[in-house]
Amino acid sequence: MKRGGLAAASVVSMLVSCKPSPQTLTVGAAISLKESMSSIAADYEKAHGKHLELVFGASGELASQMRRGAPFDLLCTAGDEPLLADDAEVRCTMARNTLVLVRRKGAPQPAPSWGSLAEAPPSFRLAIGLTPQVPAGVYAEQALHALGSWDTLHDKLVRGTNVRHVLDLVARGEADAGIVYATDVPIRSDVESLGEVPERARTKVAYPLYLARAASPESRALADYLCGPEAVRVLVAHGFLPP
Amino acid sequence: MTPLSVSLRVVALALVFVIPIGGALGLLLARGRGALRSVVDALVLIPLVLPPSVVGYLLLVLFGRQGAIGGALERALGVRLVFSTAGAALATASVALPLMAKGAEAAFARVDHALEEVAFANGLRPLATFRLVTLPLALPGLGVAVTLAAVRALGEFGATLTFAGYVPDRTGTAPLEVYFAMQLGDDARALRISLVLVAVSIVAALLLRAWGKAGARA
Repeated sequence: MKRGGLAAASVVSMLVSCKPSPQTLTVGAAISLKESMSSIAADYEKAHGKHLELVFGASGELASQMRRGAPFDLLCTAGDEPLLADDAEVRCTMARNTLVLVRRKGAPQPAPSWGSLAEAPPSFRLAIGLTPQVPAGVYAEQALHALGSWDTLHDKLVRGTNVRHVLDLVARGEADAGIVYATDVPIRSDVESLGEVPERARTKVAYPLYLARAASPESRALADYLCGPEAVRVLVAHGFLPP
Repeated sequence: MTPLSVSLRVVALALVFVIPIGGALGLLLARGRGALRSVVDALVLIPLVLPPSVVGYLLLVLFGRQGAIGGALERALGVRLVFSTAGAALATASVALPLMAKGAEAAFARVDHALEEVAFANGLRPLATFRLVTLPLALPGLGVAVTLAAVRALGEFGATLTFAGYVPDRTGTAPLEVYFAMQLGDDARALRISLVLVAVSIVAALLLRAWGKAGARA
């Protein structure tokens, strides 16, 4: 009985002890940065012998988690997160991005364009991010307002829970078109871009890097690296615009 | 439209299918013999054993616009399930069905065969025997099955989000709204909906107790 209890306790402690080592830094990032941030993290781990734990998601979701005490050392979101004012400070802008209209490659219907969205048929479904937690959705709504197509489109909108979900809805054909970042398009071979958002409807899409207040010297060093030229090079290689 | 009214619509629509289909499957499981029974028994448990996200994903593959069934549905009837209340009900029904079927199986298995044979020997036709003898005797057990299926339906989250997506007025059931309210830091809203669900779960627990007592008397 005693031995059984001891064995159970050791199994439980083994299962619980997944606490990251002090060498581990936790970095949250907008899911549009998935490939580029993973690549940057791999470079940094190799060069500095640190382990980085990456968490991807919708920016607003990550910011809300950090606000509630999720132990992010650094957080890079796809737009300003005023929610974080008390918890973190902006160190730099890591990159910029552009919105594009996309659809499933080879869809039989005539391709819509930014200008023709307002005249889409009633059955048309446009996928954008869930607002306010998905910045790509916020930017998309701003663009539709600026183009004057919001009133006719808002009944035709379906929402993705992050920008890659929006991309997936388009790739599966569940939505006839979608609004994502230019950098998301190459992720899926079954999605094609129908063009960047017109100049007059363009809002600035920038990725601020938040550093947790009371950050350790290790996270400060990582922040400097993420704001530095090596990181920018990787981001540009993945299609991002330099800050 | 409030999250609770979306939930009620989705649960009601799901139960319209789950109760008769699950009840019939339960009867087949309780009375059937042989290979067919074994196959149905295994199939009916699948949605209960699988993670809800897998149920939702498989539904998306089958009933999405590019899916074999979903594509045909859209071409024939113009029906799209993803992002619709009907889609949320389909996801909900899929996970609630096993509880109804297994519960109904237990309810019908408890009915004393001798009583049915007496009724039948006295000239009651099979359908009348079922209606006048079997069904009343199985009723408390069926009540438990319906209650469990309804509670599972009300609590459905994973399959609904994966398959039907989140459209506030159409698929935004109470569990989904709690999740998204929490994500935005709207604790007041998350708590409000949660408290209503706690109240509903207390009612369900009392209902299950009442059915249990009725079953013990029968």
